[in-house]
Amino acid sequence: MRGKIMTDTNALIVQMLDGDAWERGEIVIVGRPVTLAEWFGKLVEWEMRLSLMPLSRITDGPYDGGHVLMAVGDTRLYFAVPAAAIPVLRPWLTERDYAELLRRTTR
Amino acid sequence: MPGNWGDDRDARVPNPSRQPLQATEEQREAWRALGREKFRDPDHQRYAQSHRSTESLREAGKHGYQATAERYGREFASDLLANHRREQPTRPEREMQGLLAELGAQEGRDYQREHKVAPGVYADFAWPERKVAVEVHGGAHQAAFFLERGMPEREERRTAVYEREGWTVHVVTDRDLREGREGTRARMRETLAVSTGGGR
Repeated sequence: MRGKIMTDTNALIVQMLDGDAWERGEIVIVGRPVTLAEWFGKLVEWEMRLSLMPLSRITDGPYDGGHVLMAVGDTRLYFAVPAAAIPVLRPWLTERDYAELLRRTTR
Repeated sequence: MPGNWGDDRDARVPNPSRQPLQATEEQREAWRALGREKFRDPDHQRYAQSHRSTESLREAGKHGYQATAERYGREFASDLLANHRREQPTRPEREMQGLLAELGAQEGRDYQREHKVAPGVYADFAWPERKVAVEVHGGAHQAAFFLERGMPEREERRTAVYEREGWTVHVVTDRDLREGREGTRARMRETLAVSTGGGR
């Protein structure tokens, strides 16, 4: 499809982080690899929304260049999301947050 | 050039009413005291924290936690995250806010949210004067779904911090709020009575 970036939501994965460690600034992956498609499905099922935090950029490790996003619903979960997944996050974030995410991602 | 502006337009006659006001030393000290008092006010501290320079906040967003912590301090970085959590309560936290409101407790006036107990540890709900905190837990099965390996016991670690800092912590689960609301309400009324040094 010309003019559109297609992202395969089954090819990209996210992983949950240790929330306590993240709140202290450490990125400790404790989650199993989950495809974007599965992740989105669970967010809908559990009525969780995504939120862009003030300090989201990952600058090291397997998710270098990606972001930590917070999912909020019955609880607060933190996920490492690869930079390649950013285009499909648009409907999940407010316009302002999405613009900010793009700004932070531009090298 | 003469005009109809009045006689003394160019006369430069000193006008006593236009002299800069000179504060007395007493007034200056009163203002300083007001400033010191405001600085100690937790509401003002939160306000100041959330209004750091636009530049530092924008840079923080772009560089991530570690770089921000190195540049502006670890406390600044973790406070930013805590402020964000305060703005984005979970459903059980919102329910707890509602329950506290029913009991006449108001955020900011009677209790604080995301209050720093120790570096990197923030209480969900806190009565800092009495060192009483309430932790609201929810969605355990959701975290378990995504989990690959066990996380170190969050509660144990946090409880140890609370104890070390001399705090009393009460845990309320989403189930307590959903299915045992009346009991939770009674517990919270008791907590408030202890936290405020009297009944409501």
